[in-house]
Amino acid sequence: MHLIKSWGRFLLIWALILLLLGAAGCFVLYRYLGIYEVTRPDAVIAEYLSNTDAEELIRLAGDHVRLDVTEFEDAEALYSAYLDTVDLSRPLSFRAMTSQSSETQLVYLVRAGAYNLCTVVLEPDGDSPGFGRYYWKISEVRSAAITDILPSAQITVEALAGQPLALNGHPLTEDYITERDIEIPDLTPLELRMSPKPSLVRYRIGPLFGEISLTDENGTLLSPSEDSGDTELYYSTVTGNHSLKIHAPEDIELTVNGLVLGKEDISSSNYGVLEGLDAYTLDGAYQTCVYAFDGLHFQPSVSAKTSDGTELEAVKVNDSYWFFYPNDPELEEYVRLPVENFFNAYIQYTTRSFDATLFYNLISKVLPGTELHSYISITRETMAWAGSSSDDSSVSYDNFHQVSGTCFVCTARYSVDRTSKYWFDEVSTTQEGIYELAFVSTSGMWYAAGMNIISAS
Amino acid sequence: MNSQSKKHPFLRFLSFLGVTLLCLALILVGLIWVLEKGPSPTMTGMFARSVRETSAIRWISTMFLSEEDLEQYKSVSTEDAATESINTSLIHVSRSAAASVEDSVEVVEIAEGTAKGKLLLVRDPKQVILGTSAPFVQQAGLQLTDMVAKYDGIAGINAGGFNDDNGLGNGGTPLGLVISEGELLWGSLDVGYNVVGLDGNGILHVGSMSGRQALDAGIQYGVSFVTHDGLSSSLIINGEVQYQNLGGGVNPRTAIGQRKDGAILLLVLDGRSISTLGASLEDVVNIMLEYGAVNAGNLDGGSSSVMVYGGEIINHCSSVTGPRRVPTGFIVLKAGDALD
Repeated sequence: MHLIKSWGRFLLIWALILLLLGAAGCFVLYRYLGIYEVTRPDAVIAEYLSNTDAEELIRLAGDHVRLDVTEFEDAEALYSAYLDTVDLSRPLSFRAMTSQSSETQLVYLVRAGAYNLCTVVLEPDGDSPGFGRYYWKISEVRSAAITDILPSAQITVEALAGQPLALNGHPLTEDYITERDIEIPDLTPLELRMSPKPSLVRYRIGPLFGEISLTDENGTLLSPSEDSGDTELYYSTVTGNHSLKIHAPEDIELTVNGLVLGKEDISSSNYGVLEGLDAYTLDGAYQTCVYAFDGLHFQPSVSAKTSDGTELEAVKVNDSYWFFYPNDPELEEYVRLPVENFFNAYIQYTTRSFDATLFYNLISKVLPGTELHSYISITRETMAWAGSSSDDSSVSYDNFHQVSGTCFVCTARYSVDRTSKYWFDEVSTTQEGIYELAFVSTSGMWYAAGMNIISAS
Repeated sequence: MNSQSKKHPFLRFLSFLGVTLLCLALILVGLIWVLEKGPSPTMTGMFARSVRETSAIRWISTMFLSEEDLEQYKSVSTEDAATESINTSLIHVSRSAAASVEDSVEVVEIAEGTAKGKLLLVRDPKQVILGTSAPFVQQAGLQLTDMVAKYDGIAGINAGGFNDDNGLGNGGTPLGLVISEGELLWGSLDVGYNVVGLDGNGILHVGSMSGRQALDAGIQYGVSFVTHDGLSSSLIINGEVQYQNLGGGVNPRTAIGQRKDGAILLLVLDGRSISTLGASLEDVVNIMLEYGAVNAGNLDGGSSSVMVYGGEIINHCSSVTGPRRVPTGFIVLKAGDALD
């Protein structure tokens, strides 16, 4: 009986101890939860955000923006792009950045919709009320990592050695070359003869943030290749689809990237503007040679000079170069008037409303029986339909060259603002053109006898 | 008497055990009272939502809280199904991202605050398909290890919800919608679901849509999931957190996400263990954001949460009866077997 009582007493004491410990545990938990609730940093940041709008946050964060940019980037433009990207009308939210936080500094990332807006830093406010927890207060609003939001890309450019390029308007200098003397596969026979042989260099830049624009020496915007991704942009300025065509009198010495062209490079030749004028050109007739090259990996530089060493300036139309004999000022002075008379009549005829007077004025200055005469004659019917007027025109002449005593050639360039009437519509255009002209003398008068339209728009 | 007591040491043990268990039960009730009626509404809400998400112990939430009290702690999903849909142009699937077969899948250890688990990074989204135990109903579900083996995969996670009345389900009857190989295996064409699925281009879709809309969106492999409180599975859409769907307490979690480069993130967070009680949906979202998710969806969690890699379960499965049978799982195929 005594033992039963003792056992019962033991159980009672045991139960009391357990319950007391449990009650103490519950009390501690109750106390902890009380402190937990008032020391929740989430509550502080939530209340802060409920009283602050996105505009204010971006202003506060903007005061702390630090962007280390390269010469190819514009810090202001990047920040502006960031502001354009972030939609401040979206709901604000936050999340703890545990990796950047410590016991005494809590970092929260604040987002507006899908975009990071800023980081808000909390620091303890006063002594700990217990359990190692603290009251918290906002200590700082920092700019979010703007560069996390803006797209960035590593740039790789393969270009011809020495080719001037500009990245975002800044010259791409040799400092960014990571590889030199890269062979170009499938060089054309012309390129293989060049000395030194064309080779490539490779540039690596970045990663760069914001918009990327790469331009070549002509200011032409280059597009990244198809295998580029969002974060890797590949450019190759060497494509193997360049063409080159050179038109030059037969005795002109032509040089392409340091390589002097020979007769074996001639693709075709003809008398051009002098065709059919044998009776006037006599022994002075010369052929115009055409040099055509396709599949080039770059657009080469072309120069020309006469047998006496005079450098010639090219008329360049797209991938085609035209070379003419240098201007003979004495000849120009002597024959310029008939040239002007003809060409002004031609412009008037072609740019104004049809008028029979204009036609007869023009055709009277053209040698009968020539292709030019036929050409102008057959346009009479079609010109009748084009009611137009020319407002302003400028014409210049060059390359006067004596072929024989009764024949010379020259070039004419014009630019004219033209208004055309098609039924009830008026169309204003600026027309430009370059012409090679041949004139012959008969009965003491100079007549236009040949015309080669080099370019016309 | 002395001899009688000595004759009944078993009775003594029983009385000791009974008193101890009774006291512990009383203490547990006291702790629950503190959690439910204590001074921290935040903790009360977290506790209530956590137990409500667990079928077997939902009743605990009403020990000291009335249904009216619980209303204020319930998660409320207000997703605007009409406006929230993923923008596929934000995802640029780059299948060359994986430099080699070995490089195509990476297991990342997750330890973010109280959230612990594993994240499987699959660089080629076309390596991920939905495995099923179809034809369902007629047969039990599959343990995930068996499901991964069935598809000759290298990894997998559990996917959609399933019928589990009183915790006695055999994992054979899906809840909601199941689409596999572009075919609606379970669900209705005209009923709305909270869908998580991959289309033929390997782009992850999350959002509310009917079976027909899911098929029209080109979803090849998809499931649906909704929490006990009716929270949508959409966690992140177009980089924007769907905060209205982030209720819930702390529990084991399974989720799927996709980065802008197309890489799939398969996440399983442990819970209901000494090492971690579990993760909130907010934890899931934070981890997904940290790993670059643009879109992410919540999948079946709790004791269903499981991740298999290399033929073994690599997370701490919280089911006391061992890995559960499930009707669906996202399976990672070998790199060479990725769908074209």
